[in-house]
Amino acid sequence: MDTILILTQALNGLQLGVMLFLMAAGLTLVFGIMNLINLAHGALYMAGAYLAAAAYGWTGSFLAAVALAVAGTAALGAAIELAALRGLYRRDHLDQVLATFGLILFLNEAARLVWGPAALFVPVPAALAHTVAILPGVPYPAYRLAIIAVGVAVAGGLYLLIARTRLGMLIRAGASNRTMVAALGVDVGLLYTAVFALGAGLAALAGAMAAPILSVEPGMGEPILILTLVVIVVGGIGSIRGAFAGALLIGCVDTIGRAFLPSMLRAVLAPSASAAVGPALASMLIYLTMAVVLALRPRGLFAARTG
Amino acid sequence: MTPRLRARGVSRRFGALVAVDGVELDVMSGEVHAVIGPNGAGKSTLLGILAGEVRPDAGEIFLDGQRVTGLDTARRARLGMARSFQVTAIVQDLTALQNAMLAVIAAERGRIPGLGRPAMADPTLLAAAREALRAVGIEGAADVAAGSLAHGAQRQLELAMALVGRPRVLLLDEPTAGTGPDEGRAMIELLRRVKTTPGGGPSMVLVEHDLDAVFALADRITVMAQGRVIACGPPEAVRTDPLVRAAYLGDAHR
Repeated sequence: MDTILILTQALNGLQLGVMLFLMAAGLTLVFGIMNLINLAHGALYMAGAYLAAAAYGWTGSFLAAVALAVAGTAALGAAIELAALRGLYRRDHLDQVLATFGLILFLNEAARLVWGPAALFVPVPAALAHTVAILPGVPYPAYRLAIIAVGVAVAGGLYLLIARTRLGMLIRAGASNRTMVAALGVDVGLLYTAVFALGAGLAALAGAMAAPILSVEPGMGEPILILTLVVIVVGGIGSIRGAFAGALLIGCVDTIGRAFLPSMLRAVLAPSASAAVGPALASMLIYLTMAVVLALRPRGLFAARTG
Repeated sequence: MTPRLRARGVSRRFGALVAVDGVELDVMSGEVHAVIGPNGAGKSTLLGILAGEVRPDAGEIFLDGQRVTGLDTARRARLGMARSFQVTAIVQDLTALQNAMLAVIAAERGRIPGLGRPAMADPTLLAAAREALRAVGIEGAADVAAGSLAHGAQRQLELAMALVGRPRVLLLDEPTAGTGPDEGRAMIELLRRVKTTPGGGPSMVLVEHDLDAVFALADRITVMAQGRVIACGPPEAVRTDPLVRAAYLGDAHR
């Protein structure tokens, strides 16, 4: 039935959307606050997935694996920020792109050295390895529903952190006017390291949760990095709310477009033409969405005000 | 008596331009020390060196006898040096109250664990922030987005934030710049009140173009031209100094 398919695909889109949000939240904070383009953000996602796979091997507990992956990647992120990125904030964006692209190569190669070139697989945790009837007679994997729930919960927590806590106020102020924040006596360097570690932890959470549904392999962070960059541009760079809206929009557009666009084209085009055009157009759909959003709102859906 | 803030032989060049050239400056406790001079005299660069934003090529800065030359802005702020900027530095899309809360949070010297504490529902923090706004007379605008405040009120807010940590030294970069005549007078009045704070106000370094403000507030005036100090003394002596009149004051203040 069509409505069932639409519902299932909408949930798939939502699940991709919350994953993208976990990625985009960190990337947009780092871009908005430190003015740093961090192409290695996808590599941190990969690091989270690998650490989760390894920790699952040691502990046998998926929860422990996710916790270790998040903590370990946050620590790795802090170390990378201190060692490699700190000198890049004042450099122009091209230097940052080159340096963080170098980090991608380094981290991908490091993963290959440590874990080998073959993909690792992590089983879906037993407690969630079943399906849930979202409507009578419509099963949906419980694990994917859990991903959606975790993503929404983290989004809520992040909102409270940014909007309600002392750290959140410093983060918002640091995004808007770093000179002022330093003049008030805040150790901006420490604030930047904390923000970068937070972003790395969120990327690792996405990577660890993706480990049971994707294969864990070198280079797995790059496809999602591209989507994430689209998300933060659509949402408005520096804005957490924008990252959330953009992630859900891009997640749904991408999933639903791939699922339905080819069959919709078949209604208006000859079968051979629609078979050729459909998949190509579906994969272009997120970029078309980005173009439309930027044409209507050049600074994204929720442009963070600065200055 | 040790000066509260002392600059010793401070120099800074930008390429071929010597912006600040061997400047000596002593600011005593509780003193309002104005720095004036024509455009390009190096006043703002000197203020940046005092604040720790601009590294001097030579020379030393002392705060109460303690050498602070190598310390960055944040460390100096934690030692009690606050500053205002030529272009008003507030977070535009936070309310006035939230901006003041930010200053209170920064003055708490919070470590990371304390930073997770709620901010918007903390009565102590809110009370301290409201008090800061009251001190400069803008408590009525507490819930207005800082970016929507009138320019004069924005400058008052910035001053309120600088005063939160009860600084020993206040560095003011053109506090009346961009304000209307009434707002300018209000700012001068406010700074006079800060100067006479019961228990002793902060020492102030006042870089200012508006000479009415300078002569209304300053205990001493340092005059700079082309990066050098050409005169330093009480307002009356500076006003009649022939070198100063030639270099700067011109006929308007004869």
